[in-house]
Amino acid sequence: MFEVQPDMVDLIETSILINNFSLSRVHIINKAVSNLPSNSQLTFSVAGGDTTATNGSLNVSTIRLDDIEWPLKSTILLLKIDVEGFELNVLHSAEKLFREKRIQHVIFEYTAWWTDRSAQKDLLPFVENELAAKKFYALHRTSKDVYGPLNREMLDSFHENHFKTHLQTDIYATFIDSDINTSIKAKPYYPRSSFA
Amino acid sequence: MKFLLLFLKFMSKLRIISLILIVGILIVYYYHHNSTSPTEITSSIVKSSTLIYKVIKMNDREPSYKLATLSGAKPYADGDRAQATVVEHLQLVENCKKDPSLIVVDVGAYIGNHRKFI
Repeated sequence: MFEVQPDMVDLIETSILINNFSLSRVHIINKAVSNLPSNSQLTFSVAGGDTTATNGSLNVSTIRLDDIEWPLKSTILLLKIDVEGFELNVLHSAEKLFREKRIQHVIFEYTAWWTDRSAQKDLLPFVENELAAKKFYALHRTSKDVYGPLNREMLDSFHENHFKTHLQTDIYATFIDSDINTSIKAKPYYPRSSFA
Repeated sequence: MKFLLLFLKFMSKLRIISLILIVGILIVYYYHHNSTSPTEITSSIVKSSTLIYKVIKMNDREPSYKLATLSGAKPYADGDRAQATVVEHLQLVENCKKDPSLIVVDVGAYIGNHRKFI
């Protein structure tokens, strides 16, 4: 786990201890995952529990996912990213892992309409074309519903539709081959009604 | 005729009142079923004279686990339901138990908003 707020790191570490989870299986790292050279310094502002990359007082060291010494022959079954608009930076930092097919599934937040999130427009094309995702699904924000897989037309209009209607969702992307028997059970995606 | 008109007027008022009642009941039912259940603080951990963690049980999911919090309230987790569908589809807990070479990476692990896989 990667978390930039030291207070939150301590809460997570305490939670790990009180559950008697094996410390050999759970690691919490107080660094910001970014595509900057590892060990660069970033300054964050923390307000109301949210972390934003504006002028602030929280200095955090960065790390690239590609620079981590992952255990030999290990596979990242799931990479979950929720970094307030910096999803593209995190994914850029893991390009080698994706090329080596060591990441199988990814969930990331997708908010097309926040003004400081212009990079979100490039997010799906990058994940599809550069990281070679096989399938995309949209996750409902409050129910347990999964929609997709998103076809070509849906992907091409996804950003515009979500931007226009101020929708927020999570995206689930798969990077391994799957057929009808191994794919997640999902509902058809309709831009106008799936998130109403 | 006058009696009939009065009866219809009374019925329409009755309908409006019934409608308001039904809508009210539906709203109460919706919020009751969609809000988090009351939180029971199972223990406290004194970190310093001014900092005390309140431990709650996250028992609205499987596997359940204890969570250290500042407020003692269950975190907002509406966005986790569809993610949980993915986690269940991947049989994440079972597969990671069976195969130690599998890793789950959580970037932005802020505990306040999101379900943990721990």
